[in-house]
Amino acid sequence: MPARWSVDQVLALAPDAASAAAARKVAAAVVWMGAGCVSGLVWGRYVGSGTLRYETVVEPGVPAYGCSCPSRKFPCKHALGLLLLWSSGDVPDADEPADYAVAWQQARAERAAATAARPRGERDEEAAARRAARRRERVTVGLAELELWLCDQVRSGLSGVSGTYWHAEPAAARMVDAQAPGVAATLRRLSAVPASGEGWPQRLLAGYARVHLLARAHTQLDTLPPDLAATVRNYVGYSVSREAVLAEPAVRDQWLVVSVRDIADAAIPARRTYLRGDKTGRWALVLAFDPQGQFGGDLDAAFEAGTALDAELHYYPGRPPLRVAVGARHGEPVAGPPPQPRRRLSELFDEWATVLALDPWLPEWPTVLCGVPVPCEPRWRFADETGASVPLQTGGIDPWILAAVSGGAPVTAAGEWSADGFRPSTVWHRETAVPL
Amino acid sequence: MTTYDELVAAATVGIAQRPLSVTRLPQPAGEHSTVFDADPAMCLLDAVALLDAAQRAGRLFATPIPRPAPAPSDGVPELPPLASLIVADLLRTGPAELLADLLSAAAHAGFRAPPALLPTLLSAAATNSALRDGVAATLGERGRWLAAHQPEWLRVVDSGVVPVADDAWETGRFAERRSWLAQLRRRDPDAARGLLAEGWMRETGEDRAELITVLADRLSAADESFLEAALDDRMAEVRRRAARLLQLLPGSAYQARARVRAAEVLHRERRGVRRRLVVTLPDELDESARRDGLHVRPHTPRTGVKTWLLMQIVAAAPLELWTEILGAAPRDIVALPIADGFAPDVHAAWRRAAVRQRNAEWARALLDMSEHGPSDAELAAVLPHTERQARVVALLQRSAEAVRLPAEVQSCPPPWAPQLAEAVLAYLERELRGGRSVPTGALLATVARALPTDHAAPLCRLAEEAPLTTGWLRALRRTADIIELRRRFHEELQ
Repeated sequence: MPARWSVDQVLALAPDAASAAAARKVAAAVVWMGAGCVSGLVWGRYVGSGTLRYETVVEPGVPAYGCSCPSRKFPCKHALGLLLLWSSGDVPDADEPADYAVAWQQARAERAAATAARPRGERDEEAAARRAARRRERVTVGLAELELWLCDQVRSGLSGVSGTYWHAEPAAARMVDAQAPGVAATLRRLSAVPASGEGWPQRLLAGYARVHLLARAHTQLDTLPPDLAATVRNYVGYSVSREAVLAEPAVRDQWLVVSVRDIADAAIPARRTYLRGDKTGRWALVLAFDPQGQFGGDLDAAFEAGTALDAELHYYPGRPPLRVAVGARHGEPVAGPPPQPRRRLSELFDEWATVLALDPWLPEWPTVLCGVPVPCEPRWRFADETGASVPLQTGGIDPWILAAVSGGAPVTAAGEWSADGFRPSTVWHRETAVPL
Repeated sequence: MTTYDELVAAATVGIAQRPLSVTRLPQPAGEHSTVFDADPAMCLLDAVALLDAAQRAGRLFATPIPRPAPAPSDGVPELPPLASLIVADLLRTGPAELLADLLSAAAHAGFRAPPALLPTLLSAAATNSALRDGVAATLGERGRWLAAHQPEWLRVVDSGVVPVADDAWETGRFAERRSWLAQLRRRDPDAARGLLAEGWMRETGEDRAELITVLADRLSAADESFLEAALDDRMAEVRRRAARLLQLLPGSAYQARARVRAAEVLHRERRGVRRRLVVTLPDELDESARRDGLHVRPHTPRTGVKTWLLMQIVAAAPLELWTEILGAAPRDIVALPIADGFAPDVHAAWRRAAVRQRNAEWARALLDMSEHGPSDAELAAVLPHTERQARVVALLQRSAEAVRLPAEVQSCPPPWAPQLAEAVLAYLERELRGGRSVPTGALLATVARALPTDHAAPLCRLAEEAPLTTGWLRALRRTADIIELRRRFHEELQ
């Protein structure tokens, strides 16, 4: 039987907020009859109003759900409610599964066997190569046009767009047509810079210069080192299939979840989870996307800071290697130890310079620091043992929780480092991870 | 040498207008100047790309700053994990009263709140006074340290014991000064009053009104002359609060004046064997009465002027006055008929006096008498805990006044005696079996908050009995869930 999950882990599986709320309502022992769990199965008979009865079975390890209710939500509130009940320890251990649980498991096994037996369509590699070549051609033409546009901006002067927040929109739209969505997204962000207050010309010019650098790098794709070429392709917006990444060699380790951050204001809400390998000491980033921002049912979005998972991760191509696809998981997440922090900011600066040299476009890099949060005007700072300090980015977090846990003494905090400062997501209170 | 600033300036104006030839770049970007494009615009972008990378990688942030003084260490243990989770959940969802109970229980059991919850607890307590005492009691050293960072948090601490600096009275913020004075008052009542009197006229009217309430603690005859003088204060609120304190000071000149006025308006009349009280109202208030805080004009327009006068005069007098001049026990006095339909007004005045003077005997007499009248939780609060509960048990057993019951039950804060728990369960059972509608949410919230956890089983049985068609099932289950939550919380504190 896998270890019982936490309430948050269960609710992370809910397809939407309404389901999560409904699940909480049916997670009371009184509405379940004959609930039990054994050998990886949890089951129970839901007793609703009147004669309403549903048989619910869940296999948390997969996870897989079965319920005789007519709900089109998946998983339904009964499955979630049953899991909540199980997570709170209110589902008793049984000697053997109920009949309907056994029946469900058999049916599932048969379906799985049938799916596996189906022959996979042969991939037409030649056609794929033709498509890729066509795409490369379109991007190349598009980026060449963009270079002309960038030069025009510099020639005619940035002051012309002062105070506007959409000037790069037409160029961004053109990049969408040219199948360079990464460049399009960057340009959309840059559109807002002229309205971002003092110092905007330098920020905008630096942004243009990075796009220019990317466009120049793209013209030399074939001569760049393969990992750098992959990074360039990634920023331009060529996608890499998950299957291809999973075919890469795996890195197996005890991965500690150090930071989970939701980016709600992105075009597509994303959840960034940073893991650190216990043996390898490597960083890994798991990205999950959900247009609704609910992240229900996605195991890649169900990580909890402070837990550790024995798993095989496959790195996406690029340098420095960071983003991963999660392959085989060995066992359930367990409580992990606090990560080893950097005690001096100078070590972080060295690492940052190293990774920027590998990837000059890199917006942020994960880090674990030991230091003291200092609430000062106008912005908070984070000071290390030598008294050196960096700005603390407090957007989207409650820095007072950090201060409360610290109590003016050094704490271990994990998050993202960028040229603007340290943005923590997790702080350790002794052995316990506290999300900010 | 071309600097970053020059490049930005040229690009801002436009190199069509302000041509710029990039020569050398500062190190380390300068090492790569061989890669520059021939086109001036492209060349500018190349140069900026190099300088941008160099600046981002090499920018120094390491400004040394003074670190804040760390929080003192705290030997009090933190709440266990499950109890902390329950507190975090209740902070999100309420009810605040339940949370306040659990926090007080936690403090009583010798625990403090975990640091991660402190900001939320402090903010919640700053806006919800029901949480204030419970939060203040569980702050611990860390919480008090944290509260010092924000004025509204500091006010929460103020209701507990706030460590204030020695010179807080001269230099502190108002909350700190008040707290400092309250602590001095506890140690040395005379010194506190002396200090207050010394700078009295330099304080603003609002501060005077706040500071004078510090004297309620350890009130004694020594305070009388100061309070008498405050009756002539410029600020109406200061005068009102001074009068309130003087009313509570036995043997004060104020009490003597109040006695004379009260004895004049209400006296006994005997006609054969029948006795009754008669009201004689003054036509107007003299200067001394006005100085003592009596007003001609009622606060609420609906109260008649005569009723208003009568109530003020009677309520301002010590209740002992009536037992003395009428020679009877409170129980007999409240039973006397009162002429001209003034009974409700006189009784209301006595109720007010009983609450202010915390007089249990009078409260009991008035509650017994008004058994069929509106419930009076304030008055009931004057009675000892057990007695208040016993009264509600009796009421529940008679079950006659279904309208009053919720309010009566709600006037009993936890912990409940077993008798009260059983009586409430029996009442719920009667209501359920009798097919009545679901009790009010407020009543069930009180049950959820106060029913002893070992009485949860009968409640669950009752829930099983509830028909699905009414709201009973949900209401009882939710109540049982909360009781279960409390049980777990208390188990964690063991």
